[in-house]
Amino acid sequence: MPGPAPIKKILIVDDERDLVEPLAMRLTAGGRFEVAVAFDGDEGFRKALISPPDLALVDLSMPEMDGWELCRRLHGNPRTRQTRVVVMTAWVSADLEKRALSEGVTKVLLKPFEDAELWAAVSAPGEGAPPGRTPNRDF
Amino acid sequence: MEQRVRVLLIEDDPDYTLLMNMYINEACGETLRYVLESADSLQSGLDLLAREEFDIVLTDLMLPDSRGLETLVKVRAKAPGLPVVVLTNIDQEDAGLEAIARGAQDFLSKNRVDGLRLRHSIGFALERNRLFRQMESLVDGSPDGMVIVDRDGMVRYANPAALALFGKTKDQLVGRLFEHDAEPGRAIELAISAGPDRRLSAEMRVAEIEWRGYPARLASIRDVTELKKLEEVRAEVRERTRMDQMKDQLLSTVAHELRTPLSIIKAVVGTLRDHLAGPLSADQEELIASADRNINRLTRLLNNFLDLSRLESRRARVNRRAVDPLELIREVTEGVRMANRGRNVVFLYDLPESAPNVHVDADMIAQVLGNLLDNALRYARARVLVRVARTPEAVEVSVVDDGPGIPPDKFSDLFNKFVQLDRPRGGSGYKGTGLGLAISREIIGINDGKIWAENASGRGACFRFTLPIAAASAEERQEEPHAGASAD
Repeated sequence: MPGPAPIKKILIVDDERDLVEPLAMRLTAGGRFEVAVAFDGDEGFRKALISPPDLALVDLSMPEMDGWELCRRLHGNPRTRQTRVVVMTAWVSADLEKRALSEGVTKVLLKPFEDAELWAAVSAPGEGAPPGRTPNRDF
Repeated sequence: MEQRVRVLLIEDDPDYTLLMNMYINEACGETLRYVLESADSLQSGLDLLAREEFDIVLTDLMLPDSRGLETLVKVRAKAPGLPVVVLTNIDQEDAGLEAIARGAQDFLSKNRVDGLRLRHSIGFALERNRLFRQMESLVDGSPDGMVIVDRDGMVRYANPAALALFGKTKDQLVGRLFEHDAEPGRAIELAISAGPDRRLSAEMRVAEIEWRGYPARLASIRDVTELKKLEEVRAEVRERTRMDQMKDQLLSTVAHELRTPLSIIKAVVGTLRDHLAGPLSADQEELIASADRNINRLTRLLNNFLDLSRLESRRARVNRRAVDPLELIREVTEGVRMANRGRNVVFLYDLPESAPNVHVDADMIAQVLGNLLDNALRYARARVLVRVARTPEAVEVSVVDDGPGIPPDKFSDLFNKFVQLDRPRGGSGYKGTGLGLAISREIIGINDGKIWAENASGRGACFRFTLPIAAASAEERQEEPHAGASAD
């Protein structure tokens, strides 16, 4: 088992194009990450196979292929098995965290999220993400 | 065991009275013993009935002071429920049958009587009467109203329950037209006005019966007023629950749907604010900062909405365990203090050396304390005090500011939704959502505590809440995950 590799390549997959752009700008700024974007699950999966990312930032509710399905495909393919998946959603449900755990998702980001939460989510363990305020707790 | 039968004979012929006396006493020595008393006129018979107790009346229909069936009617009126056997002459057989139809138990033809027949008739009359009374007691004792209506729609009989139900006397009901349609078939509902302010709901079922040889209808009427009220209350509760669920669902959907566009605005404004899209002028900086603040405010509002809706509908996940209250309070307060270092407000502690563990959901209590500290900061002039005290069953936490305090007329709805005080020193910029205290009240309620507000002595507001002390067993369970109660 390789240890957690530092995260370099990030793939953002969200059908909300207006969100993808500022997210990409933020992650690109500072030059720490290489960022690719896709606007649906299918495109995201194809781009991931061509250039496997270290981390995929995936919206849960997308048409055709939703975030869970994309996560399963990424983890089911040898080329992208190591890709860490962070999901984003505006919908909180009681079993969200449990589901995320069982689907092998690294982190759930609840929209709207703080910059600090984003940084923490895209940092490998031990990379020392900048401390941020505690995210709003959801019961 | 010897059984005595007390017989009253009303007969104006002394010879016949003697004869009857003889017949009746033939049976002496058996288990039944007859005691016969006689009267020679209807009036003296009625007098005896008034004075003494009898089991049965034998009466001639033809008396000096009364003739025919009239005699029977008067005897029965005097002694209702007492069996009557009428004595008829040879040519009066029809009168005898008529007498039975009018309530006599039997008739005897005077010139055909012998001892056996007499005693047989008495025994038969007593038994027939007993059966009749038994049936009557069933009907009279029934808690349901029973009304017998003849084919002309006239009430022929009503039991006491029916009289009570309709609020009428026997004369007001029996012998009059029945006011309701007594149609056999499905149960129907009656609205009965049984008095000036007594409205009852009743359920009526009708059966076809025979009454005194004629087809009639038996209406059985049950008071369902209480049941109906209960059902109405149940229906109301169901409806209210349904509306609540719809409201929760709507609120939840709206709040969630708003989150996606909000997250986009937040990301875009954040990009501008952090100069990721190029440098900003001072005016632009200011405008973007204002947009950013209000995005955060809207986010808080949405999150509070969702929190409150989950708390109110008891869908909130609660994870109660034994928690060190001092550690929790210090951690939360320090967090708030660090975040407000720029403010000219001092945070003071008044904490005991130690405090027992409390049985609460730590994250929830942190949220409450955070709310109260935010509130206090908004109104404080120079200081915010956090005090912890121990009561026998609870740990009491107070957050005291030195602001203007709470106007007396605001205490009652302070913890209601969207109530915000317009206290003069309310800071600009940060605005509350008006939900913080409502959420706090729900959370403290779920954690079996109390929360209230008072004005601090001197000046300022003081918000207090209690946290229940954890039982020893709860502390031992601390290691197990999810040992706390769950509200789901």
